[in-house]
Amino acid sequence: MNKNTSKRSKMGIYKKWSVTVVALAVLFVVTACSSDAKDGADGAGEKPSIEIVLNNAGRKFPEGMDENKNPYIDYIRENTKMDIKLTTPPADGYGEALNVIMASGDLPDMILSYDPNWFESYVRQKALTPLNDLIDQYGQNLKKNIPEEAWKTVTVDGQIYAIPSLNPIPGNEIIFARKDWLDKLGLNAPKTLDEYKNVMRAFAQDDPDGNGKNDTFGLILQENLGKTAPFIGAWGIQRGQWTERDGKLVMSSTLPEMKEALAYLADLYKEKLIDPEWALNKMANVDEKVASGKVGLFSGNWYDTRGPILTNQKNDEKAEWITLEYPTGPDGKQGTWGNNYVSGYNVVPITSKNPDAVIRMLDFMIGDGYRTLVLGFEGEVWNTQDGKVVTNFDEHNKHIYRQTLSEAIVPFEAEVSRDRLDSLGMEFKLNEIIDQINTVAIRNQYLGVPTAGMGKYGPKLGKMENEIFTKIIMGDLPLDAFDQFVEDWKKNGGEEITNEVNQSN
Amino acid sequence: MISHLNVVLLGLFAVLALLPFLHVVAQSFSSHQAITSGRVHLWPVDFSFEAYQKVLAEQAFLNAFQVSLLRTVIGTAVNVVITCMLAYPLSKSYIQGRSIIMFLIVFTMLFSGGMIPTFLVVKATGLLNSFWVYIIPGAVSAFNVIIMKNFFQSVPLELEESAKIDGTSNVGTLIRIVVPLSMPVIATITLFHAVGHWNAFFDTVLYVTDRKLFPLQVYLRELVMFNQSNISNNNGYSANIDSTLLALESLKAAALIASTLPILLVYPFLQKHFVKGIMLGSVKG
Repeated sequence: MNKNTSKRSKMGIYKKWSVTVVALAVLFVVTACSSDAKDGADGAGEKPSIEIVLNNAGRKFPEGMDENKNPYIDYIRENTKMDIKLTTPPADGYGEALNVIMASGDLPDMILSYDPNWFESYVRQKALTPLNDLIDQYGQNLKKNIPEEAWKTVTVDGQIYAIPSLNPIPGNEIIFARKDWLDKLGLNAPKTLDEYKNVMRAFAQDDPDGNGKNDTFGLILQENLGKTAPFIGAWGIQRGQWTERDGKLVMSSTLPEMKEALAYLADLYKEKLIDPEWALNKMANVDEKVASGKVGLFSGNWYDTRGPILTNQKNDEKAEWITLEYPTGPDGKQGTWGNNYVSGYNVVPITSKNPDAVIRMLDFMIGDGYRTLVLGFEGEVWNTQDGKVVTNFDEHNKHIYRQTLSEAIVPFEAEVSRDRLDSLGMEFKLNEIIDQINTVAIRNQYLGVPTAGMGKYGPKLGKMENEIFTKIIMGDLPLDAFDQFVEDWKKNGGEEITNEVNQSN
Repeated sequence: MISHLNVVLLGLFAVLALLPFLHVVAQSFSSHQAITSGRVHLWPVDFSFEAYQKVLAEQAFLNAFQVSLLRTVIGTAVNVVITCMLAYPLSKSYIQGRSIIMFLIVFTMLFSGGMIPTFLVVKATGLLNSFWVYIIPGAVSAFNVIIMKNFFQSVPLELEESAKIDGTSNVGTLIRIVVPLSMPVIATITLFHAVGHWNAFFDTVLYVTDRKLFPLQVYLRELVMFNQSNISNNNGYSANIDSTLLALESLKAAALIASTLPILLVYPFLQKHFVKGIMLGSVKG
């Protein structure tokens, strides 16, 4: 493109020398022709070739291999009969890298972005190819494996602009407790919020680890109200989600139920049952305190049985952990944070010459190819024994780079995802935990793309919410500050977002 | 009294700066389990060299180390030579058009094209995915040119004149007289650039996708980030469940130390040049 402009300006300068003009014009035509000829050759019966951009997330390749030289990408190439060139910008700064790629004028055929705002902004700039017809034609496996809700998230004005990669995990948080502590103090597994509070009080005050020191917490939370989802869920809502009230979507953080949930947490803090450092805890700090035996009850991540809980059991052989039932609120409700359906957006820039090839590739990756991309090659990374998938972990780690491909397009409820989790070790109960989360997960009821107002006000409103809620729990602000927060939230853009959300739904 | 207070205050300050570093050093010699249980503070627990053995045996680390080293050595050399060559003429008041050139240099300090136009220029010059993208776009730093120019101006004109009388050329004067007298500023600028090159990572993010050209900082960020993927934004869930298998805390700490030490060693070697007063008494009368 730069060459063309410089030629055009030269043509302006030498306007009077017609010979030059002719010469340049000829040159122009020749370049145009030659590039046309090249494009023609690409599409004419030969293997289609596409260039895709994915996030490698820092995974390592074995010696002598890289993102374009490994058996898994060859596996896709062979089965789809295409030339695929993969580019993986560094994981940190991936979003920035995508922006410069989009600005460069030399665009790939497919890009995976994790950012809904990024997706929305390029849809608005009309930089992406609508995919409806191509999906009907080439994407039978895509249609089968991606639910309606997820398609809705990537549809703008009736046009589908991305193939969504889904989140197969319904939610993250579940409550873990030390069975040996409960037994020692003669307590039953708690069910209601009050019973939970009694257990926390005993864990904080009755020296459950029997070391004679007052060094245990009733509950641990994380900064920005992390690890509170199951407790707020007892009121049937979650923070920061859109939920229906009287036929309209409203922000759940501003509902009266939220005030009651905050009152419960503030009360726990007042009775000194929560780790006093909770508002500063990062994930690593929580993990550390769990592993070192200071905590007997917390809302953990579903995979924590392989993380801090496992470390704790190695440190203390008496430690026995169980999952608890989610606490039941005053109206008999239970709940925890439910993940969004979509985790990634596979988009096709409008300049792509082979959008059909991209759809065919993704259709293979989510369909016939998915099992191999997730688990690795059968016989090499895993085997079937008694109907179960058994993974060789040394090989699994060597082949870890394959996940860059398998995460690009993840189906919703695939048998193979369950097989994979079981193969990591039945003792971690990963599928059991996920099923338990699934029964109570509360999902966002707004499924559209982010609105303009969300981009504009969202970060500020979120920060305000975190600050005020933290202060209310810690007693720095009275509970009634919540009413003022609702007012401020509406005034500072919340009202506008609410209108946008209800219009577009 | 005041000096005692000074010692105490500065000592405290030094300890503050040193403690996090010692913490990471201790982690690098400890076991993963001890670190995640919060038992490691300033002294290693379950002492072993295993993490270092693993890091130093890893091809990707060695490769990234090599890229960083080359980048720092070549990049700094280019920076210093070019900055000298630009600053020396600018320090001479008899050069015509000096103020225009100075204005152009200062202008770039205040206004820049921004990320995407810069990317387009780099792309058009064919530097994408080449080693030279680390060297050429940042070859001249306007700020350092001004520092160096001001220092050159303080070199007594009489010294240069006497060199001229003895028959040196302009370039000869620069190399034999001015540069040796300007070691403090050259050492300063070398240090600025060397540290900058060693720590740089953003140009890799923008301009390089070839893994063979990833420098240490990008390697480290990917290593450290690998199990810090934020759960709330839903991506990288397999990274989370695999983190305990792959990115051991002690390994991360060892990689951090192994990549910080080399640049740390540059300081003592350059320190002796930070001594003033070399030119004292060179001009009499």
